[in-house]
Amino acid sequence: MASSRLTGGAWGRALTWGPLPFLVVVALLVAAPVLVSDSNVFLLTGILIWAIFAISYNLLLGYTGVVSLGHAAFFGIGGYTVALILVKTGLPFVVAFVAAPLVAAGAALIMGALALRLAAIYFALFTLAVGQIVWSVANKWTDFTGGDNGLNVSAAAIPDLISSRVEFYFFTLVLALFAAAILYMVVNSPFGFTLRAIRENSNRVEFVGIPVRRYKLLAFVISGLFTGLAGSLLALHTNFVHPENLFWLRTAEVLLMVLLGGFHIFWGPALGAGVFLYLENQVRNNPYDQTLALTGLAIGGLAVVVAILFPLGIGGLLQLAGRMAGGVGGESGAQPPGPQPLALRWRTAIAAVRQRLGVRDKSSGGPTDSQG
Amino acid sequence: MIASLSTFGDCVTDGACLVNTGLSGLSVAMVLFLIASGLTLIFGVLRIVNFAHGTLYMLGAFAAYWVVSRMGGTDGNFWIALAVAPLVVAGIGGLVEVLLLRRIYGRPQYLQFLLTFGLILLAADVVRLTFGTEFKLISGPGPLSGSVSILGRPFPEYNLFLIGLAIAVAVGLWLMLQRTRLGRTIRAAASDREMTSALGVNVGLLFTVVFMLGAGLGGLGGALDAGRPVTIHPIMDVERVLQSFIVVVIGGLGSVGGALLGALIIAQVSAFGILLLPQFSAAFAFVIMAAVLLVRPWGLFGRPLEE
Amino acid sequence: MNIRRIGVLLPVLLIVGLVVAACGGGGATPTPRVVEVVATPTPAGPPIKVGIPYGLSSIASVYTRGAVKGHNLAVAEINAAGGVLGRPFELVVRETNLRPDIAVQVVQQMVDGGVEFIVGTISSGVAQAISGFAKDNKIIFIDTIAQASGTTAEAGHRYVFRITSDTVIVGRASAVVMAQRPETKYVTIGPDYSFGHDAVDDFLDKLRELKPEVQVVNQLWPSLLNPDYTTFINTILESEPEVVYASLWGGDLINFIRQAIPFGFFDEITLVTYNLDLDILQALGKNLPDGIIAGSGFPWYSLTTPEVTEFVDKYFDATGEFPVVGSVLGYNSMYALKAAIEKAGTTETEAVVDALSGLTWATPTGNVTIRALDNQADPMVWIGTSTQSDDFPFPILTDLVAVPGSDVMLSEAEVLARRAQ
Repeated sequence: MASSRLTGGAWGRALTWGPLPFLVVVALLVAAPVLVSDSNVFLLTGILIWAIFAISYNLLLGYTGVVSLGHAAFFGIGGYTVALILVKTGLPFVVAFVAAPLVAAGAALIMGALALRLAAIYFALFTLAVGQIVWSVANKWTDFTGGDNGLNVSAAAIPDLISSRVEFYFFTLVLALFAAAILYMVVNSPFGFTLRAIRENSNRVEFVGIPVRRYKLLAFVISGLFTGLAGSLLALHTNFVHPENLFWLRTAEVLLMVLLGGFHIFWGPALGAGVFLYLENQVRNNPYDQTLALTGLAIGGLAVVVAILFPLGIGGLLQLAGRMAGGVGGESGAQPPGPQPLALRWRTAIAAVRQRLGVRDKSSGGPTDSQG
Repeated sequence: MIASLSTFGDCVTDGACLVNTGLSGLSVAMVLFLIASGLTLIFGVLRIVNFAHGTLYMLGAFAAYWVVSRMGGTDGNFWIALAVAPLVVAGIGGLVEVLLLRRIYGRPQYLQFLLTFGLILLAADVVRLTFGTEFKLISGPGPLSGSVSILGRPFPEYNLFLIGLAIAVAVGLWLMLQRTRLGRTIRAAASDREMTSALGVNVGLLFTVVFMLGAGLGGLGGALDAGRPVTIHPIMDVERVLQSFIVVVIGGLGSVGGALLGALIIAQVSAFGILLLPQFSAAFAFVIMAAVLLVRPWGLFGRPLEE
Repeated sequence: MNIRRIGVLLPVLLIVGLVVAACGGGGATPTPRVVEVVATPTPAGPPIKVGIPYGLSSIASVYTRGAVKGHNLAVAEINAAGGVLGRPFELVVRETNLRPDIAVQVVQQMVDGGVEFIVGTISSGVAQAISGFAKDNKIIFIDTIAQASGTTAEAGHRYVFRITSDTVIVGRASAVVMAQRPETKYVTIGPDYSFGHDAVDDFLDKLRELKPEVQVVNQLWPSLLNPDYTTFINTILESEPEVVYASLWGGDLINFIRQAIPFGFFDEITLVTYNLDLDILQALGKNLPDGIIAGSGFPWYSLTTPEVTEFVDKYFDATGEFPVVGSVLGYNSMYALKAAIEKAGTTETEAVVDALSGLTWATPTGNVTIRALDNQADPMVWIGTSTQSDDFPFPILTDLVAVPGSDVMLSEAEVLARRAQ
C-alpha cells in the first residue's frame, strides 16, 4: 500500500486536472481588491497569513504524521522577532523580516531536537509544555516583550511600498504563494515522499537505513520556519504582537483549520483557514445579542459536524464532489493518487475515502490503535 | 529571595509549618488526582486524548451550582449537589460517547482532536446561553465551612474533607480495578484491546461505561472545586485542564496510580517550592513535566508506547 | 442500519440547528437582538457611529456587560434630548475575545463601516493594540476600563484618551491611606502578568516613599484564573505579615478571599485590595469579612449626592440591575464624547482631539478633567473599608476616603520622564 503511494506525482495529476483550478483561485485572489470591500481585503490578508501557518503545520500533521501542540510558539517567536528588531534596534526592515522566520526555525530546531525522541502522544504533550513555557516567558518578561501590554509595531516602521492595505495584501499574497510553492515542492520531493513513508511506517523506513529522526527534525524546522514567517506577517498586519499569539489555543485553532479543510490535501489547510476565519468573522458581526457573539458555538459545532460526517474535511468533500462529477478532484498532495481514469464511479471514490480513513469493517465497531 | 530562603528554612525546621504545608499540598493534590484519574482512565481504555476533559470539570461545577440554586441556595444543599453533579456529568459523558465519540473509533487520531476541541468551544457557548456569562458562586460547603486547629494553626475542614474523599475514591477505584469483573475487563482492555474484544467482551458497552466513569470523576472535581469555593464560569477549566494533563503525563498515560503519584509530586513541589522560589511558582509544573518527559518519556508508571 | 443512520443524524441536525441559530441565519444585514436599553435614534441627522469593542463573554464580562449597559443608557438619554449637533449616536458593539489581533480586525471593520470614534476596551493588551491602530489611522480612541498606565504615559499619543483611573492613581491612593496606619510588614499577591505586577509596584513605590520603614517580606504571583489558593495562603501565613496587598481581581479575588477565610487569615492580617467593586461585593455577600481595605471607582451605595442617586435610579430602571464600575465608565465616556463634539462643533477628528484634550465634563461623581499633556483623566477614587450592611442586599465599603485623581496621578514631569526613556 505504501509503495504505491510513493509512485506517481505532480505530472500524473497535471494530466488529469491540470493547473486550472489553481490558476482560477490565484486569479481571484489577485483580483480580490477590486472584487471585495476594503474590510474583506483586510480579512483576506489575515486568512492568507493563517493559511501559511496551516499549510506549514500540515507538513508535520498530514505529511509526516507528527502532531505538535507547541507550534504557536514559533508563530509568536516570528512575530516578536520582527517586532523587537523594528522597535528596539535601528536595523532596516529587511533584516527584521528575514530574521523572523530564521529565529523561529532555530527555536524549532531546539524544540524538535529535544522532543523528537518521544513517541507520538508524548511528543505532542512535550511540545505543549515547551510552548507554554515560551508563552509564559513572553507574558512575564515585561521589560523585554512588553508582557500583556504587548508591543506596537508602528506603521511608520513598515516600508512605504507595502504600507497601504492593498499593498500589504499583495505582499502577503506573494509570500503566501511563495511559501506554498516551496512547501509544495518539499512534499513532492524525494524528501517529501520519505516523510510520507515515515508517516505510514517509520520502522520500515528506519530499517532501510534512513535516519527517521533527522528527517522528522528537518520537517519540523521547515514547518517552524514558515510558521515564523506567518507570525511575522501577523505582527505587521495587526501592527501588534502579544503573548496571546503564542498561547496553546492558537495551536489548537490551527489544528482545527487543518482538519476542517482536509489534512490529506495540500490546499486543504488553507481552505480550512478561510472557512474558520470567515465563519468566525460572520458570527462576530452578526451577534446573537448585543453582548454575546457565540463564535465558539458556530466553530465548535462545525468542528463536531466535520469530525463525525466529513472526516476528510471540507476539502475532502469538495474532492468527493469533484470525483462524482467525473473528474479527480482537487490537488491530492498528501497521498498522490497517481494517474487515474477521469470517470471514477462514485462508489469507487467512497471506497477510496473509506480505505484512506482506515475504516476496515464498519460492523466491528471496535477501535483500532491509531497511534500512527 | 533572601526573605523567602529564610521562610523556607523556618518552615522545614518547624513542625507546625511542615505539617500544615504538607496538608495544604495534599489537599491540592487530591482534587488534581480526581480530575486526572478520569483523564487517564479514558486514555488507558479508549486511547482517546480527551482535550474536553476540562469541559467536563467545568460542567461538574455548573451542575453543582444548578442543583444548589434549584434547591434554594442554602449551604447544606451543596452535599446533595456533590452527589448529583458527577452523575449529571457522567450522563453527559455517556451521551457524548454514544452519539459522537463512538463514530470516530478506529479512525485517525486527528479526528479526536477535532471532535474534542470542537466540544470545548461548543460547550462553553452552550453554558453561556444557559447560565449567562456572569460568574457564579456557591455560598459554601455548609457544615464544613469552618476550620480545625492543627498544631495550633487553623486548617479548613473542607480541605481535610477533600483529602479524605479523594483517598476514599482512590481506594474505591483500586478495589474496583483489582477486585471486580468490570475492573479486570478495564485492565485487560488497557493492556491489550484486541485480545479483550476477541474474548467476547462487549467492547462498546465497556467504552461507554469507562467514559462515563472518567467524565464523572472530572465532574466530581468540578463540583468539589465549586464547594471550595471557586468562582464558576465557562473558562474556569483553563488552569485545571493543563494541570491534569501534566499530572497524567508525569504519572504515565493510562495509569491511575501514576496519576496519584503525579498529583502528589506536583502539589507538594508547589506547596514547598513556593516558600523557596515564590516568583517562579507558576512554572513549577511545566518544568517538572518537561524534565520527566526527557528522562522517562512514558511517565513514571507508564509503559513505552509503540511508535 | 436505519437506526444507525438516525443515530448519526440526530446529533448532527441538532448541532447544525444550533449553528444556524447562532449565525442568525448569516444574513448580510447585522440585526443584533438588543435585549436591554433600546437606543432609538430620534434626531434627524445622520447617526454618529461609535465603535464599542469589549471582551464580552470572557472572565471580564461582569465589567464589560455593565459597561455596554452604561453606554446604551447614555446614548438613549442623549438621543432623546436631541442628539449631538442634531445627530444621534449609534453604537456598534463587538466582541474582541480579549485578543489584540481580533480587536484590530474588529476596529478596522468598524472604521470601514463608518464608525468615527472607538470607545471601550478592558484588557491592557487590547487597549494598546487599538491605541496603535488609532495612532496609525488618526482615529480617536477613548479607553474606558483598561488601566495599564503605559497606554497614556510611555506609549501615549495624540489620539488615545483614558477616562478611568490607571494603576498609578489607584495604587497611590491606597498607599496614601495605608501610610497613615501603623502596620509595616507587608506581603503582596497579584496575578502573574503585567497588570498584576504594575498594580503592586505602583502601590509599593508610593508607600515606600511615604513610609520608608515598610518591609515587604514576600511577593507571590499566582497565574491568572488559578482555582486553588491553598498553597499561596499557607505561604502568606508562614511569612507572618501584618498587611497583604492584593492586585487580584474578579473571580481570582473572590476565590482568594473565600479560600482564605477558614485559614483564620482575616483574624491576623489586614487585606488591602486594589479593587473591591460591586461584582465582588455581591458575589461574596454575607461571606465577605469586615475590615478589608479596598479601592473602588464607584462606591455609589456610600455616596449620597443627588447626582449619584439619580444615576443609580436611572440605571436600575433601565436595566433592573445595580451599576458596576464599568456601567458608570461606559456612561461617562459617551458624555465626554458628546461634550467634546459640541465644543468642537464638528465630528472631524483633529477638532475633536483638540476639544477632548483638556476637556472638563460633568459625571455623576463630579467633574472630571482630561489632562492635555497625556490625555489621562483624573477621576476620583475612593478607599473604603468593607462591612456588612443592613441597607443593601450586599456588603458595602464605608468610611470612604476620597482621593482626587489629580492628587496622585503621574505628574507631568513623571510622564515626560517615562516618555524620554
